[in-house]
Formats: sequence, structure tokens, C-alpha cells
Amino acid sequence: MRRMGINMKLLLSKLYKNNKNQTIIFIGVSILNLVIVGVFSKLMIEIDRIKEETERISRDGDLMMYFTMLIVVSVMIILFSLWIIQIVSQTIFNSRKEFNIQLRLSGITRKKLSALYIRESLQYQLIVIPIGVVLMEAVYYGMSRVLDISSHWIGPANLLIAVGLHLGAVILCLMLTLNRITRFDPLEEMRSPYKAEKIRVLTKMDVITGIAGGVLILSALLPDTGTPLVSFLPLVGAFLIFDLVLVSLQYLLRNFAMKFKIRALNLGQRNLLGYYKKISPIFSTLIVGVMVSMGLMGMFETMRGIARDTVEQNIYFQHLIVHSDVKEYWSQAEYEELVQETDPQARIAYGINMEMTDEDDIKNTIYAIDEDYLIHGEKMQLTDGTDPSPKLNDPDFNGIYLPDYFISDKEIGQPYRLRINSNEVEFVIAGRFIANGSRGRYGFVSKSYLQSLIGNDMVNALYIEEAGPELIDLLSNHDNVISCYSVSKADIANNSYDNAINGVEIFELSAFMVILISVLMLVHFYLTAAGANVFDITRLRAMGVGIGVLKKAYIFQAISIVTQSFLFGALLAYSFIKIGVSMSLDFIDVPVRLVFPVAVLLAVYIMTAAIGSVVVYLSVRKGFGSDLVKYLTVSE
Amino acid sequence: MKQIGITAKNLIYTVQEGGQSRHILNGIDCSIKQGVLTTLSGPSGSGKTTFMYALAGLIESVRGDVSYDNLSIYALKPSQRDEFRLNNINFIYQHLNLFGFMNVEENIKLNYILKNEKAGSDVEKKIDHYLEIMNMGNIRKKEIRSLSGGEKQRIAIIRAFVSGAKYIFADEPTGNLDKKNSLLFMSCLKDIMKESDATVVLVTHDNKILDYGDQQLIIEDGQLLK
Repeated sequence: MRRMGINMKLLLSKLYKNNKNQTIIFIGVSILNLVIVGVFSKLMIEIDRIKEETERISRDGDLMMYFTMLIVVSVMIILFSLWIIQIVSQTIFNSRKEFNIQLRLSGITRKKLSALYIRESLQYQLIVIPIGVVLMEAVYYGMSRVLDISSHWIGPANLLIAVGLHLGAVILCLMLTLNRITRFDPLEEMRSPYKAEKIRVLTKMDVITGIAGGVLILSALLPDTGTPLVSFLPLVGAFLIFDLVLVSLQYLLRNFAMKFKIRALNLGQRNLLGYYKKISPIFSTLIVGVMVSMGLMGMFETMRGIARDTVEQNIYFQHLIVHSDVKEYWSQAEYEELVQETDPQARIAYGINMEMTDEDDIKNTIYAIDEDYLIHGEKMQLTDGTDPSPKLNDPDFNGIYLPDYFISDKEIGQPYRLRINSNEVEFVIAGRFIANGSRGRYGFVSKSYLQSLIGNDMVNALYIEEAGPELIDLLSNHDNVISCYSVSKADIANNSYDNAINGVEIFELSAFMVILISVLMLVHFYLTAAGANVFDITRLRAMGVGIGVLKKAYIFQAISIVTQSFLFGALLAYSFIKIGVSMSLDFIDVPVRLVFPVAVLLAVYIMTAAIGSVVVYLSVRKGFGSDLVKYLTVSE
Repeated sequence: MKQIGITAKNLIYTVQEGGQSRHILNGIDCSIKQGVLTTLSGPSGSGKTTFMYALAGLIESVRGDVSYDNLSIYALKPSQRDEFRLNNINFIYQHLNLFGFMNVEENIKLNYILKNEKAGSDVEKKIDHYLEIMNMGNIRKKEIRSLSGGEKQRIAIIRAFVSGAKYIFADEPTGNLDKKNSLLFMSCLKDIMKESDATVVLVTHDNKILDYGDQQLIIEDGQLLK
């Protein structure tokens, strides 16, 4: 047993020396995995905490859905990273065919071979863990600052859990992979050097799953059922139809190349079909990467646009001025007198803005208004469709209208108690209004009723739909005013745009990590396939195929993989945006303009295609040297 | 009397080993007859494989001249030489003759694929005929990985002869086969050669194979003995 241990050590060092590139990629992917597992699991915990806090305060269903979505995205990114580790491990094993055969022939059992690979991978973790932990803390620190999360570091307990999860995942992925791929017959493998290559043809299963996928995609044409999961069916369909479309596309491109005598494309496509089994995971990872990153980015941009358009459409005032502290409270008549003297044409609604505390000890902003607010202030639409104006003008109306995300229909008619300066005020929930964005806990009451409750006819909020700058200046800087809050509609619109989906830039950026991993996969594939590709190239060169054609064939192939993945991914991202927006926002009363990040998509596409082309060229350039014979005479 | 197909004049190929020059080919002159099987033999390291690839125009830094029907191949530009090989030369190697990313039929028709040409009905008939001679039945759509070593080598023969190449170079094509399959390979090769006017140059160190040669060349220390 001890002797075996020494041999393993020797073998491991030889393996490292012979596979430096692959080892570096494995270590790189492992570090990335550790960072992703650590950062996103911590983010999930934090988002869950924020979600609970927000749920307690505003009960905003849209926000809950949004937070849940961020958690789902985090889980997706973690799973994706694990999937890549599994693929990379599998490729490393397959690329050491000779070594595996020789070990099995020399009497090493399947279990010992698996143990060797697991030991090798654990040995690399000695490098991975320290680098990963440092990077993890750095990335999380940055993210927590941007996301405005109170804890800026991943604590020791979370770190240990993350490292444990990472190690567990790596070992589990390896065991699952090795359990399957170590079951080979070494003699059979020796006889068939072409075993890894299998020309991909369309199978009955492809057609069946493709038809099922097509049906699910067509379900998008059905009327909206309102069930969020049903909205995802077309996306599931797209994944089912994946192989049918991609394999057919490869044959279509090959036939196109044959018809138009494009030799390089023809060769590249044939090669791609032969190595499809190995290339398929690159297609998948790139497609998912593009879908998630572009989908999230487009979805958040669309939601920001909706927030801004909602403000544009539903807010009528151009300026809001709130006199939060004054020397002497003024009545509406006093304000109107000042307005009449300065700008008789001005159109203004007057109200009271007040902060009160509810039974949960949470701050509520109360807007005491009348029907003028519905003309000059903002659109207010009740969920039952009735007009609130008569009640808001009624001095005896003790009702309060609350946002639809905060209460349910069942709560209408129940008391709503608030406190101001230790005085309790009791309102009755009169109805739900459709909220324009999430503003925490707030409500509308009758201005005259509140004035009667507080025992004077003061107002302190002016909703100015139209007024000259002189009046606005006067109202903002009047001698009577001690403290004033003034904001323009444009500022509100811009703030709504910026804050609609606050802090998600990090998630958009994180989604790029998925693309980065996919690019690593592409690099890894070409590095591991380099040997076989060089053999193919030298044999084709001997047959008279020019270097130019061969260079183009391999570069076309890399570009073809990237282009197809981006096209497919972009289509899925578009669906993702559409579904994501409708799922995250229950009620949208502005026309939705889906924003697709075309420029970013193009930039990432060009970058990925360029990396793919350079890597493929570098990986096969040995085949373009003058010493062809060296490769032609080499034995299997 | 067969005409001369390939002529080599004063072929010299030198490599640097341990700071010293070593002549792999040391001034070889020879003429290879057209339409016959020429075997090239010699001890390991004698230069036979290098000589064969030099004849095929694949060794850039070789000195001297190789001409095919008075066309000096090393005087051509690299792209012209590629074109010449694509239209006139084919190879059979000891290993990895076939491309795993294509099926049997595509491997056989590889030259047509590479030239962007459609194989005509005469080619199709020829393939069926050769498959029959080789006793291989209907395996056109089979994957390369499902073939035995002997079958792969026979498919390589079919590919070489179907390609329309006038010159076929075979580098130890039986080196990886057992005795039975080696003899089967040679008999198939001879059978097909009867129906073709292709010139075949075959490198071997197996004495039994030498007997199949119509013209036999022996090389030692980079020089032709016979």
C-alpha cells in the first residue's frame, strides 16, 4: 500500500509536467468555482435576509419576486460552475488516454485509477484554496459595497462552509465522472484510437425531443394563464429543441459549403460534427452564459425603463415642494394668495405630507390630499376601479388607501392605526391603489379629515403641475421656510430609473462570469484536442490541402461555434427578458419596450470569437510547420 | 518496358544532431517505374521513410531534384506543390490513415471532398467494386472506430486508388497488422493495381512483403544499394 503511495506521487508529478496547460486551466476553473460558490452562497444568505426585512416592511410582492429571482440566479451560477468542473475533469481524463490504458494494463484497478485522479485534483486544491479565499473576500467586499450590504466580509464559518462545499462538489463531480469513465476495456481502447470521435447524426430521440420542445415553444402563443411557471415552458422547449436545431444547422452549413465550394467551411463543419460530443458542452455553456448575462441585463434595463415611463406617465406635477419645517404653518388659502400674486396661471395641488408610525413600529408616509392631487399630483387608480375623488374631498372620510402590494382585499374595512408624536390616529382601510413603484409603507387620506383631526387647516406639500421659475424659487426659499424638500419630476424619473433595480449591476457582471467560464471551456477544448487536430492537419497537408485552407477551417470552426451559440443564446435571452419582466412586475400600465443589450452582446461576441480564433490557431500551429514527416510517421 | 514515373537526382537531406551534421539522405539517384509496385526496404534508421516523403515532395529542406514526368516538384511554389499532391499523390500510413470525424464513405471520397467535387457514378461503381474485392460488404456508413485494424488499412487502399492519384506512397502499411492481415492487404493491393495504372512506392522492412515488389530498392545509411 505504501509502495503504491510512492508510485502515485511520482505519477502525479509526471502528470503535472506533461499536462501543464490543462493543469493550469483546471486550477483556474477550480479557483473560479471556489470564488463563485463562496461569494454567491454568502450573497444568497444576505439577499434572503434583506428579503425578509423588506417583506416585513413593505410586503411588496414584486420585490419579493425580484429577490427570489436573484437567489435563483445565484443558484444557477453555482450549479453552472459545478457543471463546468465536471466537464473539465472529464476532458482531462479523456485526454490522458494513453496513460490510463497503460496504467490499467499494468494492473492498476479502476478504483485506484479513480483514487489517483481524485488525489491529483485534491493536491491542486492546496493552491486553489488560498488564492480562492483571498479572491473571494475581495470580490465579496466589492459586491457588498455596491449592493449596500452591511456585512463586508465573509466570516470564518461561511468561509469554511464555502471551502467544504467546493471540495465536496469537486470530489463528488470527479467521483461521478470517474465512476462512469473508468469503466473502459484497455485492450478495446488500444484497438480503437478513434473512440472519442463519433460523427453526430440526427437520431430519433433528437427528433422526438425536438418536437416536444417545439410544442413547448409554441405554448408561448397561448393566452396568458398568469401562472409564472407556464411562462417558462418556451425556455424549457428551447433546451429540448437544442440538439435538433444545432445538429441540423451543422449539416446545413456543411451542405452550403459543399454547394458553394467553400473548402475551409466544409472541412471545419465535418470536423465539428465528428467532435460534436466534445463540442456540445461548449455550445451549452456559451448559450446559457449568453442567455443569463444578456437576459439579466436586458431584463433589468427594461424594468428601469418601465419605472421611468411609469413616472413620466403617472406623475403630473413638475415640481414637488414639501415645507417640512416652517416658522409658522400656512393654510391653503395663504399659499394660494402668494401664488395669485406671483403667478396667477400656476396650477398646483395642496396637501399634507406627514410621517407616522404604525403598529409594527415602522415609518409610514401619509399623503393627505384632495381631488386636486388627482389632477395636478399623480395618477391614482384603485384596484376595484372606483373613483376615490369624492371620498378624498370628504371631511368625514376616515379611510386610508394603501398600496396594492402592501395589503390584500381581505384587509379592506379593517382599522389601520398610526401614531404621531405619541397621539394615536385610527383610519379604516378603504381600498388598495395600484402603486407606482415600490415606496415602502405609504397611504392616502382625506386632507380635510386630517386637518380636522389635528385641529388646524395647515398644508405643507405643493404639487406644482405648472408654474414659472420665479414662483418655484419663492416657494423654495421663502422666509417662512426653515427646512424644505424640493424635487423635480425629471429627478424623480431619473431616480426611478436608477433605483428601480438597485445594485443589480453586480448580478449582470456576475453573469459575465458564466461567459468567462464558457470561454475557458472553449480554450480547454482546443488545448486538449490540439494533438488530434495536429495529426489531422498534417495528414491533410500531405494530401495537398493548403495551409491557408486548413487555418481557415479551424478558425471558421471556432467562429462557427461562438456565432451559433451567441445567436441561440440571444434568442433565449430575449425570451428570458420577456418572461422575467412579466414575472417580476405584476402590473404594468405603460407600454413595455423590451431593451436588448445589442451593443454589449456584439462586444462580448467579438471578444469571444477573437479569443476562440487565437486559441484554436495557437493550439494547432505546430501542424503548419515544415516538419510534417515527424507527425506522419508517429505511431498511435 | 515500363516508362519512368519518378526520377530522383542527388537527393541530400541533412539534420543537425548534437551539434553535428548527419546525412539522412546522402546523394540518392534513382528512377521509379510507372504503374508498378516499388518496394523500398532497409534497416531501421536507414532513411527509407525520409526518402519516400522526399519523393512525395514533403521535405522542404531536401537538396537535389525530384521530378514527375519531367515536372520538378521542388521547383514549384508550396501552393503549387500542394495542388500537385492533391491531384496526383495519395498516402497510406502505418497508423491513423483515416479521419475519425468522417464515416467510411466520406474517408474513401476524401479527395473529392477536399477538391469540392462530387464523386461521379464511375467512382461509386469503383468503390463498390473495390469493397467487393476486399470482401468488406456494405460498410459505407460505418464509423471508423467500429473497424478492425486490417479493415482500416484496406479502406486506406481503396481511398488511395479511388482518389485518382497516379502515385501512391505507402509507409509501412502492414507494420501494424498480423501476418494474415498483412498478406491480405498485399493481395488486395496487387488486385487493385491490376485494374489501375497507379505507381505505388511502398516502404517496408518485412521480407515477405518485399516479394510483392515489381521493383525493389534497398537503402542503407542514406544511400541506395540496389
